[in-house]
Amino acid sequence: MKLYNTNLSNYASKCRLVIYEKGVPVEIVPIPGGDLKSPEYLKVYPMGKTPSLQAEGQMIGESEVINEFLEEKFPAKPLLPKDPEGRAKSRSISRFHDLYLEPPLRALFPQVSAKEKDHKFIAEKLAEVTQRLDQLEGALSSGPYALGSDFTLADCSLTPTCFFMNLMLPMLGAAAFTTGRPKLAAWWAKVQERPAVQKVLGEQQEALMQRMQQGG
Amino acid sequence: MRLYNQNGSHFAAKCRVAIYDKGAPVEIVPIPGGDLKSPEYLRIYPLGRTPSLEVNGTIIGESEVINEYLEERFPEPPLLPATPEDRARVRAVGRHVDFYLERPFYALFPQLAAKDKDQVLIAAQLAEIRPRLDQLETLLAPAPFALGNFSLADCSLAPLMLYAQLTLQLLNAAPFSEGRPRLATWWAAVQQRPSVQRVHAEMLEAARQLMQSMDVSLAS
Repeated sequence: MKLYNTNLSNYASKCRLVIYEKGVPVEIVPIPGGDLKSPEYLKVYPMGKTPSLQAEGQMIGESEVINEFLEEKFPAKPLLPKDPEGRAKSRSISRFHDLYLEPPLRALFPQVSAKEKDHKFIAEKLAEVTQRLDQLEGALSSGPYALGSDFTLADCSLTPTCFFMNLMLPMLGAAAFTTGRPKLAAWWAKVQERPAVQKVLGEQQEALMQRMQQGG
Repeated sequence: MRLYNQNGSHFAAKCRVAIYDKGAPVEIVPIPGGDLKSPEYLRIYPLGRTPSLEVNGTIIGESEVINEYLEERFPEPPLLPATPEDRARVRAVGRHVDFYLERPFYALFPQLAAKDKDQVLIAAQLAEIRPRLDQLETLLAPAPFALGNFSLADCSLAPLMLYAQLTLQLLNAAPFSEGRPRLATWWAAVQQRPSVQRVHAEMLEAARQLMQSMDVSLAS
């Protein structure tokens, strides 16, 4: 089993975090042809996105679908609760991340390095990020992890994007994402104690430094 | 257990298909206050979206999350296959609908009723829809349903494709099944499913009411 990966992608990082947490035998490989739209990779995965997982005779795309698959295929060290209500809660947070929290942050990526910043656009997107972070604060448990005592797929979804939140919001003149959000602040401190999280955040950091050196 | 529902929402319709198909004891109720942003509903579900499912005083939002929950709470008849590989195939269809296929259709909906249609926008969205439909075609393996047995993939796809068919027809674009034999086979089969027939009828009635209120005639 093979994960087509870029270390910088927060979506690929969601899957690496699960793979490291579970210690499962998934080979993590770079994108064939070096680019998501390379002919080599499009032949493997026509959607041309990362992550994708090559399972036996089958390509699985989309980080959430991959993480559910990994959870079912390797049920040891579970990352979903046992009860349907808890599982729904974890999935809600992952979904909230993918649909509502991450897109306005992603829209801001080009603005960080833009010579001429679009301040109206930045203000709009920051307002949207702020509202989503407040909703996330409301959805988090009292800790230590997103759902409570156990580390779950919800934590795997949030962590790699919070790497970018942490760096970008101050660079765009906004408060830290944890400011005024005590549950989120405690959660962010707690997840960073985990070796798998440290490994993923380190990989994201190194990939970002490389990208910046290339002037991207 | 109750589903806060609008019959015209294809996201809510995804959950109704699952509920009807399973015969699950879920009460289907309108949005409190009559509006997704009413104070009454925002108190229940602060995101103010439909569908949402109330379970013992807690709220589960998002159609895909609700359908996974219904599958776990009411496992018979199953709407997910047994193996992780096949379950991933089903989930890939749901994800494709929600993240890639639905958005350009959603962008077109206001154009259906617009007196002065924005032909540039329409052409751009139709150009986005075609590759998304081609990608969908590769995700299907109809025999006869999206992935064999009737599954959550069919629940996800059947409601949107009803609107897709109408939208393409009203904009004089080619039907989605044209040149896509798997989609064509699937569409013929899924419309025979009683749960889908019921939901499609509910959606058409809601669409008819909405269009009447906007003074648009529906060609069908």
